[in-house]
Amino acid sequence: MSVSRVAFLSSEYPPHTYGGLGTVVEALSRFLGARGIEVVMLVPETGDYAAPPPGVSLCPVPVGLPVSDEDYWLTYCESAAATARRTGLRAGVVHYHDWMTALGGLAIGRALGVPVLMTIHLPQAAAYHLDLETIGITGCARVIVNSRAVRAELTEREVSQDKISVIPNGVDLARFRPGDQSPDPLEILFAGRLIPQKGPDVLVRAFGAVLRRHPEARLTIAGDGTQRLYLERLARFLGLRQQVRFLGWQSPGRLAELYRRCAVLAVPSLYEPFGLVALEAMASGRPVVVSRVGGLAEIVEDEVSGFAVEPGDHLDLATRLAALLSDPGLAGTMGLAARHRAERYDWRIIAGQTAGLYDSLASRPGPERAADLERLLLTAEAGLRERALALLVPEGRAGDQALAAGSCCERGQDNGR
Amino acid sequence: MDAEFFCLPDDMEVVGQLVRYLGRLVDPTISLKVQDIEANDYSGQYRTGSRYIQLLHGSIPPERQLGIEVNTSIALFGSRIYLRVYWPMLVQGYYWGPLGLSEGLYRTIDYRHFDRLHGLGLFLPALAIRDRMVLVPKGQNKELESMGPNEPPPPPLERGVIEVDFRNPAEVEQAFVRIGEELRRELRQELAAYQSFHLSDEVDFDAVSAHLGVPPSLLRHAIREESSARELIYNQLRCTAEPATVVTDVQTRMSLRIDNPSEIDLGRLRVQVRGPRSGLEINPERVSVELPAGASVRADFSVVATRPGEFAIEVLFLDADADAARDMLPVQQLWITSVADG
Repeated sequence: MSVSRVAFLSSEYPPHTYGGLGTVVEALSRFLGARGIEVVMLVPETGDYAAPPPGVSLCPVPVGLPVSDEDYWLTYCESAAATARRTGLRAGVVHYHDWMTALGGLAIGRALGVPVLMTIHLPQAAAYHLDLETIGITGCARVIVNSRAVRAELTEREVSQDKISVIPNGVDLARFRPGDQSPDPLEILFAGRLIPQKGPDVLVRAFGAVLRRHPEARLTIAGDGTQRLYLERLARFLGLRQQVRFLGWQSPGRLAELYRRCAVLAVPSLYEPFGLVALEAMASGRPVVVSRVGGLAEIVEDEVSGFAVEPGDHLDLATRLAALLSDPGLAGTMGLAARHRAERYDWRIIAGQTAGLYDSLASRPGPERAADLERLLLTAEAGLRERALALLVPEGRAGDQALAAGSCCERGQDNGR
Repeated sequence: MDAEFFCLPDDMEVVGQLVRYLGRLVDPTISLKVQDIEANDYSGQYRTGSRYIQLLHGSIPPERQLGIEVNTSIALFGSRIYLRVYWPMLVQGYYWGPLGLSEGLYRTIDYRHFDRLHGLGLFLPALAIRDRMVLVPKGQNKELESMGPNEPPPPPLERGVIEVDFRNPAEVEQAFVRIGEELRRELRQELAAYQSFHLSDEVDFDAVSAHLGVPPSLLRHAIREESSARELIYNQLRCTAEPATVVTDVQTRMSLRIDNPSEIDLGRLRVQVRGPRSGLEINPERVSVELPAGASVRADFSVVATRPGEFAIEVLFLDADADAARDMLPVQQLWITSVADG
């Protein structure tokens, strides 16, 4: 069975993107649309999203002014389900992204009687978020993760391997491509949020050592975040402030230019489920020096398309960065290999893999177990349980009442498949 | 260089006192910007909240390499501000424990958090100078310690802030004395680091002040204040490694020569040498040396490089009886090269 329409539930869509999720959702929906799969995107109503490309339509979900972060996303989920009912939404598959939208996706999937998928872009640690993520995992037919590293994390949490599909994030090879002009041979680039997880402080410390070897080197930091002032202070403390440029947040188009211009991209993350910026720089023909963590270790072939270093080890990072600045020939060879490697992650290929998964689920309904979901909901914090049950248990259906009453039933029996 | 005062309307009465202390005890050219949290609209509150969080991060002394993550969900909370605080981050305070719905499932938790902070007394008022928070309300740490099961937060001074009762003038004045001293000490430290990349006998105060983002008057004040620091800024330690080239996979004795051209007797120091964790082994990690005025000393280390190439190494000068870096002695970075035999 071929799926021709899919409902996405996403917390982000350009220009409101905060991390990789919004970037990935935008690109995946665009490339699915180009394959002839219509994507209806349920996003929080803000009023100023970018115009979607052909094949993608935005369905704003009113949220109002909630009292907390959690309340915001529960309200979104309730409102998304109501919006789907009100607009007569039809889809062959419902696909929700991360914990924020999970309950809404499950509710819509149950109402439509179609398979539901969840993509986990960033596994959660905070208790409440983890609860919602676990509900999302338990209730869906299949979980998509972007790296084997994330799959390993989930299996440690006793999620069945059979339920997890590894489909990496893609890269837009037309936007991120090598330039015609030579790169600046002494410019090191960082792109990402300035938060501890991304390790920008490790890079600033490494850069101090690089400067002793290459006094003309420069570090450009594209991004913003809670650590920005700390990093500026650190650069002054190390005597490097003149050589470190803080650009703030940059648009994707501007980032593409920065990738093409730099000698090397540094990705010093301490934790990274995937590492999209590394892939973008590689597609731009630039070598990368990345931490040997998570998805980064899968994207980058050490000593071929870049170097992998010990996370948190600023001297290892400095050593590898300086090696590329010292040898432009090596940087060029690795840049070519990086582009070649990135071509495997062409969004057209990744969208094809995703569409294939939709089709396989549509022809073979998934093994979602209402009993598991029920167990989770019964142990949930009272406020969450009440609202989740109201969302997931439409009135007047025998199976739903059983769920509400605490007895076990298969999801397939509920919706008559 | 500005100071920023984050407050609620009731706190306005202390503004005049803060302005006086800033001018008298820190620098007369500093201006104070008052950020009344309630005076802003939604987007203004978001900007103010984000700025506050960045300033709190900025207060962490860089030499301590301490990680604190402070996060806010302010964007989503309409007219109210809530803060989430996570202590400490990433490498400390791990524990294993059950998690709510996922009972029976375990994973590492690397922070504490509280998500229903009713009221802002824990965070306001607060004063920032030179892009970092310096004064926070008295009792903040104690309250943070009482929340959550994780490691307690580091003491205020370790994370670079002073707790103070803003309505106690004597306490505030004492805090400002300390802020002024710390600021000038920090400027001397930053100038020493700057000079290590710009080896010259003269300091262009206007250029360096612009570089460090402070008024020239404050920089001059900082330099005048301590003659021994000034001596060390102009006559920095110099380190060289001999040999600078080693043969791959061969254990080599590397002699580190340290020159102290200053007129200051640096006494006993511990010299720590470290390299990348992969590809290079250095032993021992630390040796003690005496470093009198105008002297050169050697410290020997064993080095084995397990692959060819250039390697960054760092030399730190620590107090003999503590792990703290000695003031005015910036970290030295050196490069050694490993070549394959034959």
